[in-house]
Amino acid sequence: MKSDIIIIGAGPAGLGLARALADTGLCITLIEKQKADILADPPLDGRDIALTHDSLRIMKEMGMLKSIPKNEIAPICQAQVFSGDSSYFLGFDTKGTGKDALGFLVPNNAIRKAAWDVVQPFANISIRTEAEVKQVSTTATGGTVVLTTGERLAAPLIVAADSRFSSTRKQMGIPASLTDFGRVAIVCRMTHSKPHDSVAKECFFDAWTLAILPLLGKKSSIVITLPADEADAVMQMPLEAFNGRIERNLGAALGKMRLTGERYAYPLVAVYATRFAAQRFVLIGDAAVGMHPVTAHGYNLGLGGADRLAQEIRKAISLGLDIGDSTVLDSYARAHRRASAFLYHGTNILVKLFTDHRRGALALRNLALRVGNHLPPFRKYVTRQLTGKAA
Amino acid sequence: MSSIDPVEIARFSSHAAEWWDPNGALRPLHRLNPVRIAYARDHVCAHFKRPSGAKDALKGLSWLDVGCGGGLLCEPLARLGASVTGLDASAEAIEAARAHAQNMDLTIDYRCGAVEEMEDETYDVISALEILEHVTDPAAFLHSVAQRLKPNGILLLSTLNRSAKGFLLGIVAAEYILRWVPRGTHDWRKFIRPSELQAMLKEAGLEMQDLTGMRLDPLNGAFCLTQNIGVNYLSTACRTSF
Ligand SMILES: Cc1cc2nc3c(=O)[nH]c(=O)nc-3n(C[C@H](O)[C@H](O)[C@H](O)COP(=O)(O)OP(=O)(O)OC[C@H]3O[C@@H](n4cnc5c(N)ncnc54)[C@H](O)[C@@H]3O)c2cc1C
Repeated sequence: MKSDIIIIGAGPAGLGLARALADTGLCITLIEKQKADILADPPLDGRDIALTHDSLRIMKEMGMLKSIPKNEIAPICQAQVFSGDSSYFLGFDTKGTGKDALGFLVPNNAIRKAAWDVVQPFANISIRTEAEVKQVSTTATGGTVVLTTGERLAAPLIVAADSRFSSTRKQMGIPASLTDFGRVAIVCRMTHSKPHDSVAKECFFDAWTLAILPLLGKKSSIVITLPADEADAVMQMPLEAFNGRIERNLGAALGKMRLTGERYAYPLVAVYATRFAAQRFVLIGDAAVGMHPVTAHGYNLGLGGADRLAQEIRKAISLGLDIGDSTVLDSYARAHRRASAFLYHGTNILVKLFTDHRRGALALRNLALRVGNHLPPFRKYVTRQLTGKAA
Repeated sequence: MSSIDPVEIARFSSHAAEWWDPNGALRPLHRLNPVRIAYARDHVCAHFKRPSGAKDALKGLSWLDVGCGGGLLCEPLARLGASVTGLDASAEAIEAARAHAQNMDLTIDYRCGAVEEMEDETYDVISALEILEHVTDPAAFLHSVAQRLKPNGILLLSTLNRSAKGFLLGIVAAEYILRWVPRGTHDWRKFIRPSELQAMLKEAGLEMQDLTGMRLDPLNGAFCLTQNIGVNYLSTACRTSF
């Protein structure tokens, strides 16, 4: 069967795009190296994704929310950013947004499962699992994908959703600026004796950062970032010592803390592709913009981008344009760049500022918190990113 | 007698290989395409009282595109369901158009020639976009076009306005400053004022129905429609009702 679109990678971005185009009748083939049963029921990976209102709206339109149990969705009502042990913080709340929550936390594996579930009913979407793309090439009239088995597949448009380490992006000659922070994120879940009041906290210590994301009940998702050479020790740290360390770092604000389940480690690398489109080839999700997780935007941006590309493709169909036409892909690329550039670079600057041990940096970030608090446009911008443009 | 200008045809023939290169000499035309297709589709659908949102919005309509070049307009029209005839005086352009349509699996009747030489056939829709400013005698050209239009048909035109702004943006900016189109692509003296177009259409037994401007949106680099007809403009015309 000939496809209209080949999507490389059935992660949340690839599946999201397929679902967004499902009712166009286009023949869509997803190629994914993982096994189907893992995609259908992904194991816990420690990540809890903070979803913006925009993401939630798109997920609802796609029917994804039906697949996510209500008791897996936790509201974030306030966010506070602390520098060191100082009790002064930069605060964000829902005042003036007309919304009850800044955003919502949902486990990554529940999102992946929902994204998988919603494409299943569509006969025009086929997913080739345990199939790895080895090579991609395109000409003025079409694109070809070669699998590791040697099998060739062709389509007028090839979409790469194959993660921030996208090998097809490189093959298509698209450079990406890569920032290796030399740090690792350790994520896990903890229970605590005091309630969190649905407040998310981001604390910056000298070399560590610690984020507390409120789940339902007296439970939180914990994200620690630290220099890579200290990660092993924290991963191996005996339970009691680990619990005690987090407790102390929070000044016992949440009372007694206990680790539940595993700790998961992710190296922190941020990636920004210099172009999002090439001849009959387009990048979405982390393959286009791989964010540092501190501002919790990776999935949100990926979903927004998939939705944006789907809109451009729909518009192309309604104009009878070739869906791989450069005007179509360029429109997406321009819009997605506008939506992501400030967030990406801003996040990296923030991260560097807040993980720099030097005195000057410390003074600067304390200043940043104070200035941020008194800078309505800045706070409004951040709050709007979370709660949606309509707010 | 045809109103084809051999110098103009030679100029466009030299671009034949580049017709479908979005970054080649015809890049502005690629950028212009979405907005002019949307305009054509919406006005044609309104004229024939059919919904314009459907994937086959133009199904069953016979459509003649005069000055079709490499088929930038013909292909989308064919995808939307129209039976398209593409006419161009440049044999090279027609050859490029045929080859491309074949690659895209589209059936389009491409012919090399002039509208003045066509006989008998009439069409529901005729489009002549970005052509008027390249022919030697636009009035005679429009007269021949009108002969090919069915009684209830609709004609779509676009051209550049012979205004100071048209000169500044259409030639000075596009050819010399931004280098969007090769120098010498346009001759300002051949640009047409909307009032002149209206008069020529009337002579040909047609009545101007709509007049809409096009401008570049500097924010996203795409063209969009505007009330201002100072530079590029689109127009529709139908037979004068008696
Ligand atoms: C610790 C952590 C916390 C995070 N927290 C948040 C948050 O709070 N909010 C938020 O919005 N985002 C967050 N993110 C980001 C979010 O998880 C990612 O942005 C999202 O998973 C990216 O989805 P994707 O589909 O682009 O890529 P991926 O999920 O990486 O999927 C890529 C897929 O492509 C497949 N693949 C790759 N190469 C090939 C090939 N050659 N052939 C076939 N298949 C291939 C892979 O198997 C994989 O399934 C976080 C990330 C981390 C690491």
